Amino acid sequence: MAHAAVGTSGTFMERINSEWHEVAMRAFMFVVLGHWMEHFLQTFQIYVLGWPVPQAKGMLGMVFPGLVTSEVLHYGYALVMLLALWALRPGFTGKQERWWWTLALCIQFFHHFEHALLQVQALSGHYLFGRPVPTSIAQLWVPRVELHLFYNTIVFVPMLLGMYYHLFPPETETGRPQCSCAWHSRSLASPV
Amino acid sequence: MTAQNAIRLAMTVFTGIVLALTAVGIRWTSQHQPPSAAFASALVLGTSSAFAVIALVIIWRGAGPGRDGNG
Repeated sequence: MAHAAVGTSGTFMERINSEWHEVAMRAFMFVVLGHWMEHFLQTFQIYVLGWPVPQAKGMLGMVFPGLVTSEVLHYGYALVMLLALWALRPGFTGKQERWWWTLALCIQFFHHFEHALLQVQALSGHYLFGRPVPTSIAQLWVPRVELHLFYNTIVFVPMLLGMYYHLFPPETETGRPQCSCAWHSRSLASPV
Repeated sequence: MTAQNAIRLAMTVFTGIVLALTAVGIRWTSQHQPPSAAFASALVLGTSSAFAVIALVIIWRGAGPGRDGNG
């Protein structure tokens, strides 16, 4: 049976890691890729079009400039990423897929901590390191645009590999899938 | 084209964009940022590129479907 361990009852956490895992993963990826598009566009505006950094606001930021400068929004996204990586992790039952997903979770934890530092500074009005604006630890050395591209990449690449192994588990994988995400499961189950 | 290769291709396009942006980013930061900031930017953008290359190598090196799949 292709969808062997997919359940139909249980707690929210159990269901989101079994019968709802595929839908939840797709929704999560929609949000993550949308965020990526904003960063791609922002860096394209700076590096290729030569726009001044303060004017490079991505796509949504052109319509709603406050989005780019809002620390609440940045922190909120980092928190959503962290929670989703944690909540969807039990659905990654294979050894390799779970290893990569957990690595993404660990890196995102630190990324979230950096945004929390920025958020506390924005709320309190007291800025660390004697800077005139909210500043994270890594921002002491690395400019913000490049730092965000870096953080997003080093979180997303392990996610990507975790998802790849989740979709196409290697032959050596022995963990039982609880969801319908694996590609062969779907094709085997479909009466084509 | 198999589903696996379609997914690999999509991931390759994505990582290709990351690689292209980090490459122009390293060039841009070297021309528009002070040396210390440009060095730090090059370091993190270079690391991002390395992550992207690692992802490409891993997804293309093989390992077909296991578990209940036909391999």
